Order: sequence, then C-alpha cells, then structure tokens
Amino acid sequence: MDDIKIVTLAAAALLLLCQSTWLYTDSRHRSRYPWLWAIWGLIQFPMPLIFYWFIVRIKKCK
Amino acid sequence: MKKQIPERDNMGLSEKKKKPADSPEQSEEFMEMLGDSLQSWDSRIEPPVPHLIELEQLVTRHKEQTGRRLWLDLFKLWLLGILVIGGMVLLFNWNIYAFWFLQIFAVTGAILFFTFLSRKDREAKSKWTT
Repeated sequence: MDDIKIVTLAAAALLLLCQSTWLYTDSRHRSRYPWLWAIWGLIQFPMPLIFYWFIVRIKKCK
Repeated sequence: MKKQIPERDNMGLSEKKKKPADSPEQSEEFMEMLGDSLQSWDSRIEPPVPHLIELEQLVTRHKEQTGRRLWLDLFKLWLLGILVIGGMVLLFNWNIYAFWFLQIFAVTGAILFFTFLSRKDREAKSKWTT
C-alpha cells in the first residue's frame, strides 16, 4: 500500500509541476499574471486549467 | 498733449518689445536666406542603415537572452513547486480538513481575484473606449 501511495504522490506532484509549467509559459504571452497562474497550478488540478481556458484563452479569441 | 501709453499684454511687455508674429512674408524671407543651406544640410544627413547580418545577430542575441530568462524563471518555479507540493503533502498527512480548507480557499481566492480584475478591466475599457 505504501508503494502505491508513493507512486500516486509522485504522479500527482509531476502532474502539478507540468500543469504549472505549462500555465506559466503560456500565460507569459497572453496574461498579465503568469506567476499567479503558475502558483495556482501548483495547488490544484484541473481547476486552474479550466479557469485559464475561460478567462484568458476564450477572452483572447473574442 | 497727452502722451500715448503703449498697450501692454499679459506678460507686461510693451508693443515694441513683443515678439513679432510669424507672417508668410517673414517665412519667405527666411527660406530665401537659409533655404539652400538647410536643404543641402538635410540631404547630407543619412541615418546609417544596419546590415542584415547585424539585424540577425540582434534577433539571435535577444532570443538567447529571452531563453535564458525563461529557464531561470522555470527553475525558480520548480523550486517553489517542490516547496509548495511538499507542504501540501505534509498538510494532507497532518490534517485532511486543513488540506481541503486550503484547496477551497485557493479556488475562492482565485475566483474573487479574477472577478475583481474583470470588473476593473470593464471599467477601464468603458472609460477609454467610445
């Protein structure tokens, strides 16, 4: 059980880091608050992506 | 006989000392005197046009600088990420309710922040656009 827990934690950490990295690099060109998106991306998944899509991406498309 | 006092303008200058207004005759006179010299001077001034290689080097240098800055920022982000994720894991192990409270707080804070931001943006847009 401990091994599964460790693997799950490592996968979650990797997922959060990837999300945060992507949010940071993308929001640098499209938003004024790249660090805010990056830090939120470290805390949760997938809420920051959903909000980013609606707040930044769709707004820019309009 | 009464001495005529010259009219004074707001700056307190008399008519004589007042700067004469530009008239078409005066500008024609000016062009006659100095026109040729000014034109020859203008034609001799040529701004240096940079070579294509210099422009390419400028672009390459800028790309390298931007890339270095990005990697530095990403390194800082990953360090911060390790701290934040480590803290969240510890929090989860210590008290699960505190962990969920943090998650809810993060979502609420972000929603409020972006709502406030969008309102400010709309106000600014209505102020500066027709």
